[in-house]
Amino acid sequence: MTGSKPRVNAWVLVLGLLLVLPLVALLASGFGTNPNAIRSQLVEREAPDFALVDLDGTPVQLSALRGSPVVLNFWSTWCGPCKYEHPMLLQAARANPDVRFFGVIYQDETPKIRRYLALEGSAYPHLEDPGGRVAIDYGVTGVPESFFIDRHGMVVHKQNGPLDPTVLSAWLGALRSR
Amino acid sequence: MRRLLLALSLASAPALGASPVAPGADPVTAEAGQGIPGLPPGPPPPASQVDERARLIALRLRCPVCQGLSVADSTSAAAVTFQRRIRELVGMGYTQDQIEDYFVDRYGEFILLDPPARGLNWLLWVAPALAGGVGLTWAAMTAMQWRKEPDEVPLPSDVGLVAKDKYEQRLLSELED
Repeated sequence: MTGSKPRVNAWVLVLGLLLVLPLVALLASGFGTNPNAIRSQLVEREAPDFALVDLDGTPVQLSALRGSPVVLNFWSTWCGPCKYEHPMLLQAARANPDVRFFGVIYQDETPKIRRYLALEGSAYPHLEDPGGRVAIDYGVTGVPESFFIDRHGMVVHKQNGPLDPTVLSAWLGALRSR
Repeated sequence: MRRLLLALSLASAPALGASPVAPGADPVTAEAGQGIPGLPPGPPPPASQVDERARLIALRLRCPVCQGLSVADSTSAAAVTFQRRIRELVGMGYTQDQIEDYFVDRYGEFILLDPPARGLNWLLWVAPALAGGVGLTWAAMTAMQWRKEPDEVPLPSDVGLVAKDKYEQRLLSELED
């Protein structure tokens, strides 16, 4: 049997490689990133100011807290991971009185929040966010999300998803060092 | 009056991103304008047009927790919050560009369903057209090559094929027929 070598058109090969290689490189770069994690636009920017009211009716304005590091935790009672990180945040708030912790309620009902906090405990104010305006201002896509804001009002880090003790401790340290 | 209150509240803000809540301002109006920079360039649209204008903007924004759905097409909690906020801003007189810029500022260009044609985004716009053009050229060249080839296949006897055995003989004769 005499087989003739298949002809390879050099131009087709080059053109094919030119089209395919960048696509492969693009897809390969995507393997290292989480497609669901949206990079925060606010990191290293001034934290958007807000004036909200906590569950006791006390007004809280972010810009009035300059001088203290702030941790803002967007959460809700219908969010499982929020419940996972709640005890850790309670403990961290008690152990770090120099850092101001705030919960921002995300699309939830106040009575449910009150009931949950009565059961599970509370160590810092929880702010109502009518219409989710502050959540949008912070580019929140879901809960839990936490923002670490330094004493100058700059966003140092945004945590997508639940915190763990190591991450929380590391970012609290970073807040203090600035 | 609402615009005046908003202007007063924004003028009192010390920097971009600072709270526009001013002492004495209508808290509802002031809160509604919170976060979005600038002022509405004109009066609010008639109430009858607000929903449609808001829907057109929501169609151009991506629902952040869905797979390829616009804010207008999603019923997720995040999308509903977006829809409400867009309607609120449209109702205050903010333009489509201002509202889209606001969302891009907070979420990045990811939030636009149609990424703007600049920088690396050009690839997204050019690559499909390029691939289509290459495909069409290849198809056209192949079709032209087919047309050049003779329609009739030469018979075995034309090319001098000789059967080696009775089976090949039978095959060749069938081909000749």
